[in-house]
Amino acid sequence: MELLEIKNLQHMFGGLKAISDLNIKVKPRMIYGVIGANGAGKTTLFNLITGIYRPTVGQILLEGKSLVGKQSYEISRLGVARTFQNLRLFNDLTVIENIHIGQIYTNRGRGKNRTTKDLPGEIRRLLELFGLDERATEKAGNLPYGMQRKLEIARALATDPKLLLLDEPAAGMNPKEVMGLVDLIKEVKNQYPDITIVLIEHQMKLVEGLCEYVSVMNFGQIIANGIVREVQSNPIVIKAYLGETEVG
Amino acid sequence: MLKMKQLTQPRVIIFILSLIVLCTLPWVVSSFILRIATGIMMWIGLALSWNMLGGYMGYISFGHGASFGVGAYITGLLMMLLHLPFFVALIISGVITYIFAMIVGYPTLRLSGSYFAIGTWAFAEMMRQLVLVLDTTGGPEGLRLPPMLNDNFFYFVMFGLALLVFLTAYFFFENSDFGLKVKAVREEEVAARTLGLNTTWIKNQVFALSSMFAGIIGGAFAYWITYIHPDSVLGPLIADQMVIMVLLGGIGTLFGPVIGAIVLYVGNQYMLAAWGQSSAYLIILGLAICLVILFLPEGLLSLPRVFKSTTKGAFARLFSPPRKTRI
Repeated sequence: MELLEIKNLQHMFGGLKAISDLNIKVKPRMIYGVIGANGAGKTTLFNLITGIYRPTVGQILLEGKSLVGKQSYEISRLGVARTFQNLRLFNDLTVIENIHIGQIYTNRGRGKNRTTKDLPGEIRRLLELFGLDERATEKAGNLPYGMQRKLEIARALATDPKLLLLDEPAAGMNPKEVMGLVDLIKEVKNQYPDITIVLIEHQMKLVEGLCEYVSVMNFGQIIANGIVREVQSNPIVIKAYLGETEVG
Repeated sequence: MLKMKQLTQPRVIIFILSLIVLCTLPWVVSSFILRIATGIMMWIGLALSWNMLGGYMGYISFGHGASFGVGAYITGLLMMLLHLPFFVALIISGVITYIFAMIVGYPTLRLSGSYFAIGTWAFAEMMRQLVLVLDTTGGPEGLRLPPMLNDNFFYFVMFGLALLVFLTAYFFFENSDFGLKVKAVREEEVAARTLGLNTTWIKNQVFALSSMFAGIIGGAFAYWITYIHPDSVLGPLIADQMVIMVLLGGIGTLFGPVIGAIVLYVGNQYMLAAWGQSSAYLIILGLAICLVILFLPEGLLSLPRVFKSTTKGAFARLFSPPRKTRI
């Protein structure tokens, strides 16, 4: 069964169709990429999955259960975590407090057969994994930009999600930092093998390095699906990104 | 919750000692000073209750005076119409302001920033107008409560209430998951929601809780003063003073509102004694706000830190030769 299945999704902002007739299937434990030009509707898609917007038409299923109409916090407790394109950290709180807030609902309300986690141990593990242990008691707002990005991923992971949505995790990073992030996400996947990751990205380097499968969005629709290499040579995708080629 | 080890910590000892000193106050000072001390306790409680909403949660309310007034009027009405004893009336008025705030909070907490401030201010004004026209509340004539002339009693009531609010702020807002959730709402509401926090419920609870404390303190104030009228308990100055005390002392901290309340209330009483009833207090109040916002945005509580960091710089500038202008 698919972990995430989106069927005939449509979303309108007034008269503007931000998403139309979108279908996606994400299998468990995969790293799935969503790429596309600015304004293609990628972030809107994430906002629909996490309940920040309500879709006009369509279904969003997590392990067969519908997420449509649920509040953001309910969706989070069902196991969907996300980061934001423009950082949304709790700036005036410390790094540890940021992660701790993510943990508050991990051991509750997700079925009784779920094993409870050792939360303080989990914080230490996340701090180490993301290289934040030395600045654990600093205010999140005082961290350098790259670390803030990492902290946001750590905070999302602290909710113990099944599905992790990363909205342009490499935005504003230089090429070296992007490669570091690729290794980091690989390491996260290594340590949390059960997690499924869906990421939105512009930088092909990151997508090539991580994703097994990508969907290309354009004007609210998916114009191509497939493995990265396949998609890159797809003429429709090239047209969407670069415009029509003129022969000559 | 408390262990033996925690009880021997210096700050706990200082806290307990100061409690003992404050308990002996009625037998040490004159009744004039005691009345001022009672007033200070009341304003500490009010400032701390406003700080739960405005400081920890970041929702600046200018309608908190409405809860104070509603609590005062309900206590008064319960005592006069139903002849209930004071403490019963006080508890009932606490429950009613809690429910009242839940109802008011439902629409207003959907707003944020200055819209929330305006919305709550409008609600407070609505309450004042309502009390002015209703017959049961005595309209502009106000309401008289059965007189009780025991200064010690009211000192201990206000002291107890201030302590209750202080301990609530300490245990629920400074040192608990609930406090972290509230601060998360202040910092990034959308992110808090996507981390599993039911922000609507949290905001409503904080609003209702802080209003309840203001309502109970209002009830105690009504019995203390024995005569209330719309302007004395529902006037805009009540909410304004809470806001200013918190800003003056240090918003979002535990001791900021306490310090702000003491400084402002003592200043107020001093001016009252020196110049009588005049609008000079309001002018100085306005000036003080301007100065604090401009030069000390984190309040008086940050004064030692600011002083430490700037005096060094000031001395250095004083004794170093004037800098040559570069071309």
